[in-house]
Order: sequence, then C-alpha cells, then structure tokens
Amino acid sequence: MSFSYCKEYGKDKVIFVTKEDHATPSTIELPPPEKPEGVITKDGKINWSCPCLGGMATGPCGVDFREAFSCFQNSTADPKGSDCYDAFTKMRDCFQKYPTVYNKSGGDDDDDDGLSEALDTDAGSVGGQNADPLADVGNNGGGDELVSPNSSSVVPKA
Amino acid sequence: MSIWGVRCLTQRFIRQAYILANRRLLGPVPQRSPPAYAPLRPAHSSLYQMVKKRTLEARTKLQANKYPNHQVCVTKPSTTPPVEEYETAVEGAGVPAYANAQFQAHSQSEPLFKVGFADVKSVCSAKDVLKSDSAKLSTSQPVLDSCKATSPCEEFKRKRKETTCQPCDEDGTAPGGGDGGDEECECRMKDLRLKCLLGALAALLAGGFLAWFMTRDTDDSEAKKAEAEEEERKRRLVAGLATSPPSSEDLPKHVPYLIIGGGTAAFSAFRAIKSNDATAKVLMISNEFRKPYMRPPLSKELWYTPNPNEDPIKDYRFKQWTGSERSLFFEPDEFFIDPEDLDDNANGGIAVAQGFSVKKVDAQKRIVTLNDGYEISYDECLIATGCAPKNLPMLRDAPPSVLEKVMVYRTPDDFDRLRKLAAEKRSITIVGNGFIGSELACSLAHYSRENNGGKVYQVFQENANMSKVLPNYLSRWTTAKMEAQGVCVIPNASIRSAVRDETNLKLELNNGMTLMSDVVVVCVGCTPNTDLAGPSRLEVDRSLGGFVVNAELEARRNLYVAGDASCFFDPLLGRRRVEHHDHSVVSGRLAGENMTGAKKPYQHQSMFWSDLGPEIGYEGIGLVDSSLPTVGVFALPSESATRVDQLSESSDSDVPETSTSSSQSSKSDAGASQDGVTCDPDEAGNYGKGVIFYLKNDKIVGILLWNLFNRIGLARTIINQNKKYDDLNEVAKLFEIHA
Repeated sequence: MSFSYCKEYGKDKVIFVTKEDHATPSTIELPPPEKPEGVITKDGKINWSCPCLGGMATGPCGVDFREAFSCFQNSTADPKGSDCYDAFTKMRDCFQKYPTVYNKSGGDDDDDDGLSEALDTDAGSVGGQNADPLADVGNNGGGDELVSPNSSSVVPKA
Repeated sequence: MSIWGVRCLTQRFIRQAYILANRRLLGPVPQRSPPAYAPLRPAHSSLYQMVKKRTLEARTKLQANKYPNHQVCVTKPSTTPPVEEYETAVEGAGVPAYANAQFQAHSQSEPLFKVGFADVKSVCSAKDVLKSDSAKLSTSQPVLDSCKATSPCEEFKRKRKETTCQPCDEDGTAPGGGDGGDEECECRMKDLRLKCLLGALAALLAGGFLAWFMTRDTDDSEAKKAEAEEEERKRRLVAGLATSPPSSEDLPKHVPYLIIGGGTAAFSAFRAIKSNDATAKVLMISNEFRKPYMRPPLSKELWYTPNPNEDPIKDYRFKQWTGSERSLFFEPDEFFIDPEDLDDNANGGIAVAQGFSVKKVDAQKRIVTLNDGYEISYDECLIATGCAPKNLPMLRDAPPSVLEKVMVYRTPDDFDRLRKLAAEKRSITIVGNGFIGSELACSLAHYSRENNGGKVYQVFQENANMSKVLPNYLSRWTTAKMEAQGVCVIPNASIRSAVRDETNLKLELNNGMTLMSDVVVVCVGCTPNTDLAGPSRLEVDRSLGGFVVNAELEARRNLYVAGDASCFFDPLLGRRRVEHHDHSVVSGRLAGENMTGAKKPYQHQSMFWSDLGPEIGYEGIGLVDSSLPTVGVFALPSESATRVDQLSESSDSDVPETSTSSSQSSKSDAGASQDGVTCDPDEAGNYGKGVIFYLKNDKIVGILLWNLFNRIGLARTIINQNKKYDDLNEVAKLFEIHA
C-alpha cells in the first residue's frame, strides 16, 4: 500500500498525496467564482467585449452588427426582431463586402468552437471549459476575443 | 433575464443573421477581378484577333479554289492576269501586319470584298470585249464556246465536247488552235493552284511568326517588370526601408487613437477601443512589415503542423490543441483599412502603417514624430513596442562568417529560416534554458525525429531547464524528460568562443567540450524596446526595464504603455514587468479600455503557459519565481499502478507504516530533514500532475499548475485572497489533482 509523504529540498517542499487523502472536502473557504459576463451586463447593457460575439462587434462590419443586434435585443415585436429587417439587410450587405473576414473557409470547426466557447462562458464554470492553451482560460474581464480560434464568426451552420 | 434565456436569444439572433446573410450569398455574387490578371489580357486579346484573321483568310482561299474556271475566264485576256496576281499577293502579304489592331482588322475585311467585286467587273468587261470580237471573227466559233461557258451545265457540255474531239483528232480532223488552247488552260490552272498553296503557307508562317514574336515580347517585358519589382521590394525589405504606404505623407495628420507597435498588446488594445467606441479610428504604427500576429505557435504548434511540403506554410496555419486550424495572423488582410482611407471611413476601423518607426512622443502637445520627421497628432496614444531578442555579446561581435550562422528567434521569418535548416538535416544548437529555448528544443527534436533530421543541442549555463521558473527538483526532472525526447542538453556550460570551420561552426564551451553545429539559435531572453524614452522624456525602470506606468498603465496623461515594454504597478503584487502572451492581451485590453475613459486599475492577473513536447504542459499565474519558497503537491498514482510497480513500493516502504495522514507524514519527514536530496529514478513518474504554490511572507503569490488545465480561474481567486494558509494541502484539494 502507498501512503502520502513529504520531502524537502532546501526551501522547496514537495507533498505526494494519494487519491484517498484528497477525497475529503477541503476546509478552505473561497468566495464563489465571479461569473464571466455574458452578452448582457448586470445593468442591462450589451457587453460588446463578450467572447461569445466572436469579435463581430469590432470587425469592419462592427457598427452594422451592433445596430442589428441592438435592434433585435430591444425589439418588442412578435416575432422578436421582425421589425429589424432593414438593420439585418444592412449588416448582410456589409458581410458580403468582406468575405474572408465573415465567411471563413473551414468555418465548421471555428463555428463549433465558437458555440462551445459561448456555452462554456455562459455556464460560468470555474475557469471555463476552454481547453485551448492559446485562450485566456477563466478570464473574468469579459473574455478574450483575440486568441479565440473563431475570432471572426460564431454563426452556426443552418 | 436568466443566463439560459440570454444564450437562447443570442443563438437565435446569430442563426437569424446567418440565414439572412446566406440568402443573398446563394445568388450570383459579382467578383472583383484580380488586378494580377489584367496585364495578361492584351496578349489573350491579341491571340484571339490572330485566330480570327487566319480563319477569314483561309475561308477566302477556299472560296477561290472552289471555282478555278472562274479564274481561268478572268486570265483569258493577255494583259489582265499579271496585274490581278500581283494585287492578290500584296493583299496576302499585308494581312498579318494589321493582325493586332481591332479597327484595322475591321477595315481589312473591306478590301477583301473589293477584290471580289473587281473580279466581277473583270468578267463583264471580258464579255463585252468578246462580244465585239465575235462580230469580227465569225470563223472562231470554238473560242466563243469556251469563253461563254460560265455555268456548270455549260462547263459539263464543254468537257463532253473535248472528249468527243479526241476521236476527231485521231481521225485527223481536229483543229490545232483548239488543242493548244486546252493545254494552255490546264497549265495555267496548275500554276494557280500552286501559287494559292504557297500563299496560304506563307500567310500561316507569317501569322505564326508574328504571334510568337508578340507573345515573347509581352511575356518578356512582363516577367522583367515583375522581377525588377520583386528584387526592389526584397532589397528594401532587407534594408528595412520598405513601408506601406510608400510615404509617410500618406498617413493621416491626426488620429483619435494612435498605437505605437504592431504586436499582440497593440491589437488587443484595438479590440478594447473598438468595443467601447463603436466608430473609433485607430492607427497602428508598426516597424515590422506584417499585420499583427501571435507568437506562441512559432515555438510550438507550427512545428507539429503535418504539411511539411509547404514552404513557407501558407498564412502560417497550424492545428490548435482543440483540433481546429487557424492562421498565425489575428485577422485576414481585408479586416484592415488602408491608412489613406482611415479619415474618410465613417464606421472607423484599424489601419496599419507598416515599416515605420517612431522617434519621439510629445505627451504635452500630444504629437508623435516619426523617424523621417513626419508628425501625427493624437487624442489617446498607446506605446506597445514590445521587446527585442538579446544576443550573446561574444556572438554579436563575431566576424561575418560566424554571424551568418547565428540567429535569434522571434518572427515568422526566423521560423521559415530555421524550418528550412531543419529540413536540410542540419545540426542545431540552441543557447538558453528559458521558455523559447526549451520549447524550441522540444519542437525541433520532434521535427528531427519525424523527418530524420539533424542533432539538436541545448546549451545553457544554469544547471537545468526553466531554472528561473521551476523549483530546482522540478527543473532537473524536466531536463531529464527533455533528454528522453531527443534533446542533447548541455547544462552548466557557456560558449567561450565560436569559429567558422568550413560549413560548420565550432563552439568551444567553458567546460572543455567542443561542439560542431550548422546553426546557433540564441534564446537568452529579450530587452524591452524603450528607445522612445529619452527623446520623449519618459521614465524607464532601472532594474526591471520598460516604461514606468501606474496601475492604470498610464505613463503620462493620455499616454499608456502595455505589453512587454510596460513596467506597471500591480496593487496586489507590487511593481512588475511581464513578458508573456496573455499579459500582452490583458494589459493591451486594459490600456485600450482606459484610452476610452474607463480608468480601471490592473486587477486581473494574467497567466502564462508552456508546452514541452507531448508529456509536459503547465500554466502559471502570479509571481512564479524559483527564488521564492515553494510548496508542491503532486498526485500519487492509483493503488493498482503502485501495486504493479515494485520499485515504487520499495521506495514507499521507507516511510513509517504508522503514518496514515499527510500532516503526520509531513511532520515526521520534517524532523528527518533531508536537505539537498536528489530525486530517485524511482520517483521519475511522480511529477505527473500537481500544483505548486509560490510563497512570499507565507502568502501565496504565484501558482503553477503542472499538467493540470482549466483551473486558472481558481488559481486567480486564491492569489487574489492575499491570505496565509496553514495547510497548503487543503488548498491543493480544491484543484482536484487526481481528476
């Protein structure tokens, strides 16, 4: 049978522990992890830095995207967003001017990652579920869209 | 509104946007013609004209051959034939001369019609002449019949007469004049056919020659021009003179947001600025001739990309650990605006001035001066000049024959060069035991193994890899792991001298060894770029380097510094300077937010990560400095694994059997106090997973997660507590190191 033990190397201490010794809950109390902000902030505003937007708000069509998204969010029509046709049309026209930015080849992978990231971010799990070492894991500042693998598009395939 | 509801709304919106966007896309989209194709159009058009001309010419010839008797009638008058033939020859020779001209080709078709019309007139005049002659010569009836034969029926009848005449001749009654006329006609017909054939051949040859000449001339001039341009561009790139736009005069005179530097911190700042100011106009001044890109894959993922035949790798695409593929560049080229158009763009955006350097920033007047004297005024300015790789003084001052075998490693060009050398089976020596040196050594060892490449050496004067970051026991264990991956690690050594030996570099080490290597890659850290500080009267930290800024990353009013070049004040951990990718992202974002008026202090701790081959990956946060006391908590293998491993059991038997809890075990061993004990080989596998706490005044100031992922948020929370913990094993439980 193996037991936990400890070794010291000068100022450095090493503890080897078994799974059984770590089975009991920790006595350390920590404040609950701060949930990363989603696309809507606490005061009801739109968080344009949210990674779930995949950088759409800062691209060449960022202004048109914001107008369409804001219109959709503030829409009281039924169905929701049906009064935003003009804004959507304008955004769509802008997307067509920048095919490389907004319709990446190999978009399937990127889109899946984007959705996955948005889900994880919304779930508010500790540190997030993003396994991408290039991403800023557990970012509390509203997310890191720079190193997101899908920095240009989170549009799911129909 | 619940989180789930928000997510549903977001997804619904995105799906709707996607449907709307794709509706139009399915229809015909007008494509912009690539300008590169434009120069090829004249040649193509020219060839088309040539083909058209030749077809028309051939058709005319066929027409002539179809009715040879027609020609025979025309040549009957003795004075007319030479003139007609000469005119035809002239026309044929002249046709190729007008081949390339659209309007001339059009006019050329008219003369052909004229020729036909002239033929008709000749026939009429001949008839008139013959009619008048017939009145005079009533006895020459056979001649009349021959001339009148203009229709197929008449021709047929004429031929029958000839056949009938033959027996008459045998009888001795054939007229001599008629017989001579027939023979003459036949001779003329053959001659005409031969001339037509020769004319056609000549025309074809002339056309072909002209086409070849035109094509050769066009291609030659085009190739020369392209070659000259490429050569000029390369020369300017090498000299560092290439700029985009070509002149600083094309840059705007004033911009609301000015960013000095083109790296990760600069681009992260742009993202933050644009998020908070929807129509922000951002000008980025970069001394590199590239759009912003991320650096970490240059020493890791790019070396594992399984398409070694591409040289260079297109857009530096690589496969991420998540499995998806992406480019090294943050965004494609069309994401960026041309600097000339920045002022006129109502929606704002980002423009990159490539190849320019900034000499001075006047914070009082808010004016930036470029190296060529051009001035740009700004409302908010960010300095994100990053750092430049260091070189060994001995190597830096070496003669040129040695210098061409020495390189530093930081840019995609460095990657291209090193990859070419690795593909050529060269032996490579890396100097330095830090992040870049160690990661690159593992990547090159992998690349060599995959491609039967050359030897990889790593030389450093410390005694193990990552010795400034990892505690000594872990650092040495890591070195052993790297050796197992194929890196020839030479610790406790420095290069005393380097001399050129034919194609190799002979390195004399201070430990007496001599190393033969094709190339030396120096990875001994980097120096922050603070050349701006003197002329701009900005403060530079003496010990840490970098521009001194406060917690809001402000150097002066409206002037910020982010990234490697920033020596910032961390309210939690004191004055710091960090050289990591995530710090560039985090500090860039903070600076960008503050440039739009946020006034936030530095609170969010950045992290870093490193991968050393397939077995070792770690993430760190806070102060991860090996000079601090550390407490490491590592997971023991499960019981079944232990039971199988006899050596491990043997090692464990040393521990007193009565110890059943970690705290007791800790106290017992503390009493034993085995200082300086080296790791036993049996324990090599015990550093699989764990967490290491870095302490200062008994508080946790840094955490290193060893082969544990997705726990940085928890580590960040613990560091932010700024508390003492009596039992760090209890803290380690939170990380679930056995999961």
